[in-house]
Amino acid sequence: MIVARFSREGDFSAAVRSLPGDRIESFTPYPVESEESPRQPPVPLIALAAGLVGFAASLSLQIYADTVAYPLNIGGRPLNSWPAFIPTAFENGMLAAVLAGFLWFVARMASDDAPHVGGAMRDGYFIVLHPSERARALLCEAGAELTELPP
Amino acid sequence: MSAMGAMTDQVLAVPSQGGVGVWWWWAFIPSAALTLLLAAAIGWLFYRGVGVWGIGYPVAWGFAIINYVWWIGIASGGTFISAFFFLLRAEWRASLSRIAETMTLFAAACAAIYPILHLGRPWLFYWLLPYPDSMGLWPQFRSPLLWDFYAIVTYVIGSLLFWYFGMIPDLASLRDAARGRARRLIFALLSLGFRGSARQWRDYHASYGVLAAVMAPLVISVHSIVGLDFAGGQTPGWHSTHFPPFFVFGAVLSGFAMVLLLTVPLRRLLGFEAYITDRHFDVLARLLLTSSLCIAYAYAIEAFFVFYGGEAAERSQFLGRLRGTVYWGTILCNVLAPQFFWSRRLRLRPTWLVGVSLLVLAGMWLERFGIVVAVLRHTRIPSAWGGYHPSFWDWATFLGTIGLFCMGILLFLRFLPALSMFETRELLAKGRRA
Repeated sequence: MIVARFSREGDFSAAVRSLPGDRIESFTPYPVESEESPRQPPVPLIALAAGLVGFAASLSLQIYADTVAYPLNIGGRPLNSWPAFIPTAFENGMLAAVLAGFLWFVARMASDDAPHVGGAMRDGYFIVLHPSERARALLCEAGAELTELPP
Repeated sequence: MSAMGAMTDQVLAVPSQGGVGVWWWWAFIPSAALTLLLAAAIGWLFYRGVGVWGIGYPVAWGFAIINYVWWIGIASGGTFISAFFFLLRAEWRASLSRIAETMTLFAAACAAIYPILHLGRPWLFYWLLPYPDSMGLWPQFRSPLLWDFYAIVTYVIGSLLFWYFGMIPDLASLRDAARGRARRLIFALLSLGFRGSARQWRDYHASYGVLAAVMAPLVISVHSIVGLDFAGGQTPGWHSTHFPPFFVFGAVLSGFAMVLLLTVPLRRLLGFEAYITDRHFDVLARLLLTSSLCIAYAYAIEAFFVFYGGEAAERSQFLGRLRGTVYWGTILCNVLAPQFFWSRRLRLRPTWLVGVSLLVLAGMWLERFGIVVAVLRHTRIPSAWGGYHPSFWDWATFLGTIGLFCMGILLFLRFLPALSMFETRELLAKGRRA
């Protein structure tokens, strides 16, 4: 594999645009928006679903506890006083959404096998790609420093 | 060397090579001493019970609740800066977010101690959780005090995850700079193997957006529920619908004050003048002023409701508070002191920023003292009116949590990156493009 290092974002982005086919992965010290827009990650929907499930589960548990498991007659008021259950159900739903969003990312990282490119978390912009003469020429022209990695 | 590289090296210098200044030890030793005092106070409390505090009849909620509300209010500042202003795409938040979120984490931890301590039988706190117990009992789900338990648990867990999640790319930088196998392994695990690939950044950004979108309404709900703890009681002075927004305004005011109080000295001590600029102080001081105007409105509404409602007990209670110094101290610190920040010149003066922030924090504490003590002392039946005198152990617990808070912040500064490096890199790159 060839690792091409750029020290300016502009050169890096131009190179990414010029060799879309051979690229394996790119590494940047902060999120760089690319023009190609791949599929958006599904995490907002996952968190929303977890939040709704958490809310529903919490609300059902409270209704069950106060109507079936431990009914308490307080001056003849309705047992299923659901408006009073909303705050707890809301907090539980929010907790479920936070945990789902976080755990989704942990799971994604666990299934990630990106190579480690030293310097990407400091100030370098990197493109990792399969070696080819065309790519080498293009990258040299774009002002990259090239290093070879054993496959 | 590139500006990004220089910034990364500067921020990583303290956590990866040590080399904190002497000031760190001068701050750490008293903080650690106060934390030991907290441990002693908690030990004595657990041994003897809540009788060691100044509470009794009629003031059964004393320092524990005052300090709980004070700390949880302070905690809101970091969540506001990190979550709200992330969603609003305010780029100035980048250099403040890490310090502000750390502040939130330790303030929320200090707050979370108090409800457990004031239970009386703290080892039975798990009765607040719904579980199929052999007594056949369930928690009282209709009580705001139980809502509060869930709100605090959710907020503490959410703040911890949000703080940690925001640090993952910077932990990866720390891993790459680490010397020694053990340190590298620890930071490799903590950074979840983050490498800065396009896919990882995309996933990271999407998840961070989700966490911010949850934390922003969560912080509002937490302070509203703290307000409902009081509004749910039939006590004159508490039983009012304006309490939830009133508590949110107060929380935000004290939160911004604490962020200012921390960033003004830390900017100089850590040499962050290039990243935390006058612009940041200007923005924070404006936010302080805005939230002060909000709380002024809440105080006005509080007074209006007392006379508009026309209940004798409410009126007598409120007029009693007007005769005391606590109420006027609150107005002076929270409403009048921040008005200096209409002047741009004063918004940029570090001494004024620190002075007004300290006044606001004192004022918010006085406000909660008024809400808890002045109200409980003066209820419906004049024969039940009484007094309240905090004991030595009340003060020891309070000062102890201040020590715990400072110690947490200091340990963070020593071992973790105090600036959000990846967001600062983005700003540096944007500055170069512009």
